[in-house]
Parts: sequence; structure tokens; C-alpha cells
Amino acid sequence: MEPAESLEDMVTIPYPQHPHCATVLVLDTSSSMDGTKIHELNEGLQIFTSELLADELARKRVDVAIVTFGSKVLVVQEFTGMSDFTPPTLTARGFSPMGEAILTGIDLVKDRKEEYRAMGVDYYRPWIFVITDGYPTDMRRGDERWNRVIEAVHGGEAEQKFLFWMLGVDPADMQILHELSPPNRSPLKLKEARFADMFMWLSKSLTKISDSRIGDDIMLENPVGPQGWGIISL
Amino acid sequence: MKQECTHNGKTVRIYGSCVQGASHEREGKECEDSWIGEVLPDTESLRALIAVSDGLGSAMYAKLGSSIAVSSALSHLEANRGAVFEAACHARSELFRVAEDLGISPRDLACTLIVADVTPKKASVAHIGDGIVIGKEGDTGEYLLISGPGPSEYVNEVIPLTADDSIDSIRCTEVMGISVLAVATDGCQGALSTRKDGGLEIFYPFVAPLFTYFTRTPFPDTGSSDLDTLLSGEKVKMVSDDDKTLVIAVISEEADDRVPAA
Repeated sequence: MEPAESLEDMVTIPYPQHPHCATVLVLDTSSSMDGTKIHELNEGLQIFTSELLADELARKRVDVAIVTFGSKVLVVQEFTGMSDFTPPTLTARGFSPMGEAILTGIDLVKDRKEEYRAMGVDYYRPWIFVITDGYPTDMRRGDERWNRVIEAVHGGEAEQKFLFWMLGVDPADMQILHELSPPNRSPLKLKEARFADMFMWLSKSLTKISDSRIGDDIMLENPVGPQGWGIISL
Repeated sequence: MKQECTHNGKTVRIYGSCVQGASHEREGKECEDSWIGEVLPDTESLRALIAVSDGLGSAMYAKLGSSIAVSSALSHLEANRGAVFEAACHARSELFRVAEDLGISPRDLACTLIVADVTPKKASVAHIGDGIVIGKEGDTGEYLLISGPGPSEYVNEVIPLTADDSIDSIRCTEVMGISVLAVATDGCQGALSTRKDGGLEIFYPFVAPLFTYFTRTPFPDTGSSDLDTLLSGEKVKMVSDDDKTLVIAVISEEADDRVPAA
């Protein structure tokens, strides 16, 4: 006599879907980044990639896109899962069309969320992370693009569409970055030569988020503590 | 508590299981879900009362919160049959009262809650937070997604029963003529349902055999332990590493000879 079929044998589960965490890196590749800074930025992207690939959940759940702004705004990496992500080697030239780059990053997040919804994939609140050593050259306070960027960033944060971080690298105009940043999140200034630490922090933060469950408080390491890579510049 | 009863030729049974998720196992944390179920012989009919709660990971005393929520909701329903919304509100008041007594924040007891009151005529459900309730109509055999997770865009965000405006977020549903009802926390949500075009759909290859298993005759004596095995098994583990609770109420037209009439 054959053993009775167990309840586990009878049921079929859906193809397991991991919730996804969309992250956009908006990176300054203007000529002022040339030399050590662009080299460290590229090294940081390598560290970011290897750290996330080393974590089983983050590898499955974090999606990355990269927008650069230098000679022009480029989506150098459309959203992709970490296992398919190869960090680009960036070169620095041109001005800093930061306004257009930020809006591009926000559009990428909006489109990605629509894709998640269409595919039936759960997702975490996306992150947008802007790194610059200068100031925007494609907008000025109060002009049409400036207002669009302010509305998109501040409104997007207030409506919880994404988490928006601005990071300044010396000699970034921190006052401008402060005005662009959401009111609840001051821009951070990178301590000298701490690109690697900053990307380590970013990958650790995304790893924690990608392992969070309903109602979890995410305790991120303090980037501006004594051991941190950044300082708050008000 | 009584979890099976026969009355006037009908039988009501409750099966339930609550298992620790793999993530809490790794972290050495206890299972933070709670559930409670009771079958009452009513003057006119039989009645199954169910409360299921998921203590939030951010809450310092998540298990305490979920256990207070289910016990206080059920005690309210015992005295006020059918009043599921009021039972949820009562559970909320109890959480606030206990928090004050212990000198902690209500947030430390944060949890979700699903309260169900099921008779052969009607199933009433009050629900806050995530989790899912699926039923099957006795006459038509149709499966119904009775209550889904609350409106939250992001997977790790939820409005708990202890939130300031939580009473406004309690969703109430009534459905007639349910023969089987499944109530589950979010750890099981991904097995019972799938997302499509932004909405939630019943996943029939899981739900249909599950309901068939618990409605076959004779009734499975080992139903709750079979649920334990299912929720602890590799298949369901693949869906989520969160704690998992699944409670099933079955109303049968046929009297079960093994159960003495109430």
C-alpha cells in the first residue's frame, strides 16, 4: 500500500519572488572629477559591486542603475540585478548637468516601480544617491529646471516615493546641495579619500534593507560618526 | 479552547499552526506571531472565532503585543458575537493599557491583527496590517479573496494596530455562506496569493488542495500538526523566511459522528 500523500506533496507554491530594492547612483563625471577622484569613484563602484554580490539576499534583491553627468547626461547602466551588473569604468570630462541627471534618476525609479507592479514584484522604497564635487551647471536657483528638481526631490521624499541622498566631495558647493536635498535629510560631505568607506556603507545599508521584513526598523550605521566616512555640512 | 463542535447536523472545526521563521531562527529570536481560535455552540448556529496577529520586527515586545492582541480580541468576540471591528478596537485599547502599565510605548507592542467571526450564514472579518483571508463559498465552490494586506506601496512598511490613526485603517468585510476560511500572516501570504498587475490574486495550486485536504471526510484528525509540517517544510520556507501562521475554519453540512453534539 502506498503511503498517503502529505499535505506538502499536494500543494504547489508560486515561483518565489524576492522583493526588490531599486537603487540609482547619479554620479558626477565632470572634468573637475578627473584624476584621483574619478579613479577612487571607479574603485568604489568595484567595492560596492563585490560587497553586494557577496551577500546572498542583496545579490537577488538589489537592482542598480547608474546615471552620469559630465559632457552630457548618460544612463550608463539601466536597472539590472546585481548578478548581471558589471561596474563601468567612468571617465571625467565636461560640465555638471546635475539637474537633468537628478530628474533622469527620478524617472528611472518611477519606471522601475511600474515594471515591478506590472510583474507583480514586491519592492522596498528605492534609493537615489547623488555624488558630486561641484554644483549644477544646467540650472540656477529659481529657474524652471531648478524648480522642477526641487519639486521632484522634495515632493518625492515627502510622498515617500524614494529616499534621496546627496553626497558632496570637496570642493562641492554644500550650500547648493543643502537646498537641493530634502528638508529632512542634510547632504553629507565625504571625508577626504573615503570613497571606499562610503561605498562600503552604501552596500551594507542596502544589504540590511534587502533583509528587512514587515515593520522592521532599519538601523543604518551612522555615516557621520567618529568612524564614519562623512560629515554633515549645514 | 474548544476547536471543534457539532450542532444541528453541522460541524465546525478550526485547525491552526504557527511556526518560527528561518530569519528568527538564525537570530535566536522567538516566533512573534500569535493565533487563537475557538468554536462556540450558538443558540441558532455554530460559530468559529479566530484572531491572528503578527508582532512587528521593530517592536521591542512583539510577541507580547501579538499575544495580547489575539487574546483580547477573542475575549471581546466571545461576549459580543459578530462584533469584529469592536473586537479589534478593544485589542488596541488593551495594547495601550498594557503599554501604560509597563511604562513602555505602544509602539513596543506593535502588531497586525485579523479577527474573524464565522457562522454557516456569514463570515465577518476585521483586518489591520498585512496578512490575508481567503474563503470558499459553500454553495458555489467559488474561492474569495476576502481581505488582503493593507494599502502600503513598500514591502517592509505596514500600519500596525498601535499606530495613532490605526482605527481608520481597520478594514471590515462580510461574506455570506462560507464553508472554508483561511486566515494567515504575511509569512504565508506568498504561498496563498500572488501579485499581478498591482493587485493580489489567490494562488489556486496552493489554496485549492489545502482546502480540499481539510474538507475531506473523514475530517483529518491530525489537521493542525499537518499544518505544522506544511509550514515548517521546505516548500513554504522558500516563500518567506518570516514567521508563519495559518488558521483554517471548516464548516461542514455533515455531522461528524466522532464529535459529541454540543
